[in-house]
Amino acid sequence: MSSVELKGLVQAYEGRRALNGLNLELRDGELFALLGASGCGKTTTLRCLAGLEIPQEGRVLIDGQDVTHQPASERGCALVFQNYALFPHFNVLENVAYGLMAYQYRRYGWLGKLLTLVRSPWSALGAMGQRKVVEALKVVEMHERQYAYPHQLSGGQQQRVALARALVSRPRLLLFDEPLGALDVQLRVKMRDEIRRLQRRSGLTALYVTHDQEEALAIADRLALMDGGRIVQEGTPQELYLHPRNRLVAKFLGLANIISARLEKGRLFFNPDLSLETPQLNSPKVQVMVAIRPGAITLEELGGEQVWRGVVEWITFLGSFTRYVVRVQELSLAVYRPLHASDLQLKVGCEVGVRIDPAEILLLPEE
Amino acid sequence: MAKWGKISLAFVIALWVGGLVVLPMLTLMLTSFTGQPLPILEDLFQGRIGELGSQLRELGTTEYYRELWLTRRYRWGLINTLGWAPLLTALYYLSLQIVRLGARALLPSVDRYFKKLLSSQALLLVASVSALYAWFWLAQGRAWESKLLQVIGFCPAVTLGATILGTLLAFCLTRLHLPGAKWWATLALVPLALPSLLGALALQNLMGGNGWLTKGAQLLGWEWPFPAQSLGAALLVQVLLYFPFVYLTVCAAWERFQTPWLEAAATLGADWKLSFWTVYLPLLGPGVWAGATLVFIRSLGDFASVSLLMPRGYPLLIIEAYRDLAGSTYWGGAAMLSTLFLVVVSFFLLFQYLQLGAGRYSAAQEGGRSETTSQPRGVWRWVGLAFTLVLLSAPLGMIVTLLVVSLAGEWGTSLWPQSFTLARYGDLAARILAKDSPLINSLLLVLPALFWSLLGALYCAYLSVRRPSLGSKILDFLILWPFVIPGVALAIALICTFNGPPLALHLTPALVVGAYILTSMPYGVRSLAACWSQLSPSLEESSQTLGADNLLTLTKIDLPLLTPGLGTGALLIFISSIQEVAVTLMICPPSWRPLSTFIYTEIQEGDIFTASAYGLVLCLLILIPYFLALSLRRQFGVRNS
Repeated sequence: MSSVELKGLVQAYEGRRALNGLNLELRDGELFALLGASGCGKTTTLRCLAGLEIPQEGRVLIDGQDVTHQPASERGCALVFQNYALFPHFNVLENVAYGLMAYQYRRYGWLGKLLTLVRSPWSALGAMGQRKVVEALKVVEMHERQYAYPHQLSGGQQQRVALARALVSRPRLLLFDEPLGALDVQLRVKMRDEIRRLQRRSGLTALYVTHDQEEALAIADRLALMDGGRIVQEGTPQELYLHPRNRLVAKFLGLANIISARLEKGRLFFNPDLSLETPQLNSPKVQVMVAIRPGAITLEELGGEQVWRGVVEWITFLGSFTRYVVRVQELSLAVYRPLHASDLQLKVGCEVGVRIDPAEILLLPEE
Repeated sequence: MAKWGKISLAFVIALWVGGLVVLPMLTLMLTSFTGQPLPILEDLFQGRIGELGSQLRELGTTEYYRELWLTRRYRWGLINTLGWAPLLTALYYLSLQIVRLGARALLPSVDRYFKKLLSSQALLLVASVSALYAWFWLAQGRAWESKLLQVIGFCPAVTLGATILGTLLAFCLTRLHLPGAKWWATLALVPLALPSLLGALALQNLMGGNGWLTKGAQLLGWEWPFPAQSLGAALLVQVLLYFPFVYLTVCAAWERFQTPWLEAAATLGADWKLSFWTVYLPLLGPGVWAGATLVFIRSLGDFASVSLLMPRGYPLLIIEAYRDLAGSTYWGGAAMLSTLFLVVVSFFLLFQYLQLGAGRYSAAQEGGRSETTSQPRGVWRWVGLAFTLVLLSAPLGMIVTLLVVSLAGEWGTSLWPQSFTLARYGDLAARILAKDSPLINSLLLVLPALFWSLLGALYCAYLSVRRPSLGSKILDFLILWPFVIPGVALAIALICTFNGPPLALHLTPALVVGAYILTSMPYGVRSLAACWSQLSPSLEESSQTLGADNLLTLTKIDLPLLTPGLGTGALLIFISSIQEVAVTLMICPPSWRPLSTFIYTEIQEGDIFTASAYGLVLCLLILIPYFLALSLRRQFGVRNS
């Protein structure tokens, strides 16, 4: 169990700052997800934490101890790579045994070191170590394929081996670098739950880097959105989803409708003709930015109270729900409707009533 | 501690590269102006750099460069080596590029006309016009053989021939689905391992005074029309030994294309002949060029075959350079010719960079290609098979002649020896016991070079793949340099530098080992770098995060995974060192004479029987590890893929 603190990290490549004064704190035993588009600096953060890169400025603290300049091999942060990085010339057992072997190696004298160098990672381990390896493989249900080589395993199986390899040496931290990126959708959901289960079981503090908002929301105790080498917002998944700080966070978490409006006396004006009663919104500013989840908008027959007149512009069938783009005057709104929402028959060009629940409108305070 | 280790390693590399690459090149260029090697190293050690300047002013002259045109043997050597047509085309290209640079600064809009004037089609036109001009005016009044040589040039002719054969073979083996294609593909690599020295020897065995073909013709009552010492023989040996360079680069380029362009052409209605000209060749252009460049560079530096096979009447640059130093110690001429080699090779590389650098095709799309469409069928397929068989049996035939001649006892005028003897091999074994064996000398010189070369290559490959920087790029370039310059030029540069104190290394085994490391390290760096760049850095990082330090990561992760690269690198280093003739001939002390120069002198002295026996040993020494490595590599490839 470890807590982590990153203080003012700066890292630049050829003049471009990948990290720009990043501050982050991980609590004991939690799974923290770093979310962001590619190039936002999340992988650099992970690599600085693992010791694979030394930040140009700032400090990395694990359990209050400054490890900024400690090499990766002594830091004890197990990293699960996107491509798993299983050693192709070792079988499953040897791959998993590698961490324990390296731990032994560092503690041996020169003779022990030499003996370790000439033996395979598996046979260099004692009986205790070998039992640990087999147990770790049982936990990930890979003990039946222990003599297989990585190229003989499927993506999901390789992922499990990588997990076992990271877990077996009891690291201080577990780090994940987009570990599910190479898997297909079904397997992703399954492995996501698996990772969560194993992390809970081991009680290790974990940092999970991903660009997939759904994955981050599903897996994390807390998460942070990164942009331009800094944290934009951090909090629990609910906090981020329900109170996004700005347009970027809202967009990234799938709040598709982001609209500028005027807020006057408890009423939100999209234009002089389109307005809504929104008593819950408070802002010192008049010109505001709001976000409306696609699921918070309902489509119905024309003619009701508080119903706007819109035209269906585009329909995409997505299986369990259907996505509509509806134009209300100059506003273009994305709307999700469940498969069996109502018997309303909609086609492109149809006129339709649009109702927005005022309670679901989120004010983006930083816009 | 680790930091000091790194700094001292960098220091060793800098010393190595500075001392054995940069300094000799510098000395060589200075010598070409002064006519005698200046003691740069001595002055440097004693802090008398100022004196160097005054010596230069005193001795400096452009006389030797004027001699290039004024002395008959230099002039003919230049024209015979490079040819009128390529020389004139190069002149046209260079002057136009220079004018273009000026014009672009003054009037940017004219650049597109220059682009047209410098396009491949325009260059081809210029080359043909200058060939005609040379044929009818410049080389007028000479015999047709000599005229042809002067118009095309020896090295361009070899390049042309090898390029045509290599491209055709690549087409046959990648597109025709010949029976036994895998075997042919392996056989096609044999010439790469055959020293041109042995090629020359095999040709002597076939067409020399006692050669097979000569005897066969005599038995039929004819006179064999092609003597072993002829222009045609020299051309034939080089073309037959160098076509695999083109074959390999074309195949590699073909492998990189994952897009079914030929299939697209077929669906658009092109038959295989049309798609060969319009799709296959243009897309593989860069591959063809890369192979042709290699052939040209090799041919320019190949000393053994031309010095053994070219008849007296045809001076070539490389032979003249060798004679200048080995025959008469004429420093100025030798250095000038060697500098000329540097210029020619640089021009060729620059040309390749400028003409092709921008036009690389990229094929990032995934998806396999089906192999069924637009293939030649019927009789064309058999023509392809026949061509492949004839081409690939030539190097095998060479090896067979070595075997038969080395075993021949009495051999009169008949086609087959009357009796066989193992005496020559017995003699070879006896010399090993007597500790006076070229074989042992070879191994004593080559194995240390192999070790250090591989070690250096490992570090350089690491720097260029894992720590890319300006410094590593410069290092890469400097290390590659000795690979492209002819051995004779390198030897002359080394002799100029290490001729006197403080490092009088000339005629010591140490300098031979150093020269071997120098010429062979590029092979190691290339094959290791290629292998290393295919390893994902995440493997090393993952080892580190699991707690392994650098040594453990190197021994457990990198070295096992680099085995194919290490094997290929070691093999290429071994082959290139053990067959080296020119450098060894010039800088090796007589008591250390290795296999290659031993065979060379035996051929020159006319004892082709002993030469064949030793030649076969050299051949086996190269081919056995070669095929071992090929088969091992296949196994590794299966496990690591």
